[in-house]
Amino acid sequence: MTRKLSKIFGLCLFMTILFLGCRSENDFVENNVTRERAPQKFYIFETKNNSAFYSKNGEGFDYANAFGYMAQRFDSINKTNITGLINTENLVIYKQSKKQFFIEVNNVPYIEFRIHSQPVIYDNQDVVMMYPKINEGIVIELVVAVLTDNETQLHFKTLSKDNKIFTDNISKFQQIYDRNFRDEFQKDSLGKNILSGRGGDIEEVVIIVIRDLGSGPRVGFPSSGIGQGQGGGCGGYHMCQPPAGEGGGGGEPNDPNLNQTDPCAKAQVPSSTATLNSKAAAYTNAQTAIVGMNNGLENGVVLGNVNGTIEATGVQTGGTSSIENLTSSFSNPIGDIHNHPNNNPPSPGDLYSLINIRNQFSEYNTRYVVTQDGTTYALIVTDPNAMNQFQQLHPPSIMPNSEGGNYVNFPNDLLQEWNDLRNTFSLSGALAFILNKYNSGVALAKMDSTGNFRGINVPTTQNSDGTTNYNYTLCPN
Amino acid sequence: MKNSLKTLTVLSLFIMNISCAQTVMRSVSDAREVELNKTEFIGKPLSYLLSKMNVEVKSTLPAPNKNRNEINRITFRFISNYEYRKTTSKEINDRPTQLTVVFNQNWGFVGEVCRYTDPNCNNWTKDDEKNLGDLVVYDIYVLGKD
Repeated sequence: MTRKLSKIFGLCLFMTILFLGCRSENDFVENNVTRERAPQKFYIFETKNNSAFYSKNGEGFDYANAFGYMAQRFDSINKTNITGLINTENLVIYKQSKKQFFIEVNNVPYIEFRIHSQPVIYDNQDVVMMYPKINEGIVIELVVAVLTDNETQLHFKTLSKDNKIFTDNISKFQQIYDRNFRDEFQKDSLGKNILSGRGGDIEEVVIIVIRDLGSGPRVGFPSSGIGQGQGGGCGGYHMCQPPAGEGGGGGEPNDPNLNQTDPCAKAQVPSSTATLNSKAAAYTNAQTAIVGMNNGLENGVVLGNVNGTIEATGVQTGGTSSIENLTSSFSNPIGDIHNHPNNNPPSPGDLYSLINIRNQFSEYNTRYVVTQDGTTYALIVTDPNAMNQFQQLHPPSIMPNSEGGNYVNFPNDLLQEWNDLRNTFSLSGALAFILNKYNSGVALAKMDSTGNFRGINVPTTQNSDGTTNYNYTLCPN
Repeated sequence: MKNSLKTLTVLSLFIMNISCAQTVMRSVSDAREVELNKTEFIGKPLSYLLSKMNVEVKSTLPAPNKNRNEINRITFRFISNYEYRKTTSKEINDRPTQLTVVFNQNWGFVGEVCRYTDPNCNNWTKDDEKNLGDLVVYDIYVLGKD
């Protein structure tokens, strides 16, 4: 008996030692791999992957555009604001051809990547290029892109204002800016610069010869007079591997530059459409009928486009806290309206069911919600691809509803954040913040006093004690 | 033989101790243990879970409020509401640990959302324990870095 027990005990001890031994070995191997990894090149400079950045005029690699793209990508991934074009209060517009955002409305300083110096390429293949930073039409800083260490390091640095290169060149950049851009802007009612004639690309650019650079050290830009830079290796840009579809391999399924943009820019066109449709007689009549039900329940209609005219179904009645499966015979439904018998804005359930129905009908882009106090919101689809990716990444939690259908809510992590913001900030602001933060492809808009739907934007600022201010704003019309 | 019996007795006591062990939250880092062993608490009153939480609850987040007929879930935090507010710029799982208890009612979150400006909303008091203690736990989850 004793022998048997000893054997069992011995076996347990052996297994434990074996398990601990395996773990130690794994850790050892992992640590060695980490230590031995050499700096990787940016894939963008590999010939097979960089066709998008070769000049069409046979002038070789287009460093100006590539550095602009990479700076914006760095901002997007690291939530920085080197460029003033990502994570910014500026209104920007995305140009697919350049894979970059460009200024639309100037509120804070930004880098104008369409103006730049010529690339200065050193014998060791280090490359330096200079761009102006603009505010209110004035070149206020010069920023240099510095590619070094065998194309493994890229930093963006601001030149000191007492640097000779800065003093020699700033007026040239200003002249170029004035010649190419100043006449393109006009002031809006708030005195902000608005780019006019946005349909056409502004002509590019402009070579400024930086003669002094030639005498700099071979490693790149002269070190004196350069402010602290941002950037680093390919990991910080997610550019060690080409994205799928750009030269093969794994990497990122989506270009983060495409995912991150000003929420107001994303909501602008669909908000205008929501406003336009809400002016239709069918909308007005339907809203009156829904509000007139006054039954303590949710009631709704579907809106459809019938030969260019907006029509509505009859009123359909749901439960006390949800209305599911609004139906219609429209071949081209474009949205729906329902009421909340309290003052709550659209719910996560409203969001997820809109996503589902949008996948069945390609123009079903708007869900209007009228609350008890008359406030009207609209959930509007701004990016169907992002919307579906959001649903995949954050699938809803679903509970059966005894009244029929299901209760649909955010998964626990998003629900926690949403509920926290409802507690400390605002009911509709909480949803708008979550939709934008997680790039849901759906925006929340609110009807203003003039009957226009305007996206709810929630910029944040940090207080000195570490707390966050959430600011509830409506996007410009 | 005598030795064998002794060993067997000790081993039996050890195994019984393991199988009958009750989860007790002695520190914030034990919150994950509570989540892992949540079946021990599901179906029992909240008061039972609270009796096993030997860590001071410093703030709460109820949803939508603390009305015993309307509360769907309550999050227990082990730092003050103000200290928690300093961490909200971080992702939810990089913030301090919070343990949420879900009740099987009001999944539609019907009811007035209580606001942090009302001290009764985010504080945790003996009255809350008494008022909510007999609600039956439906689920438990933990978010946060610890």
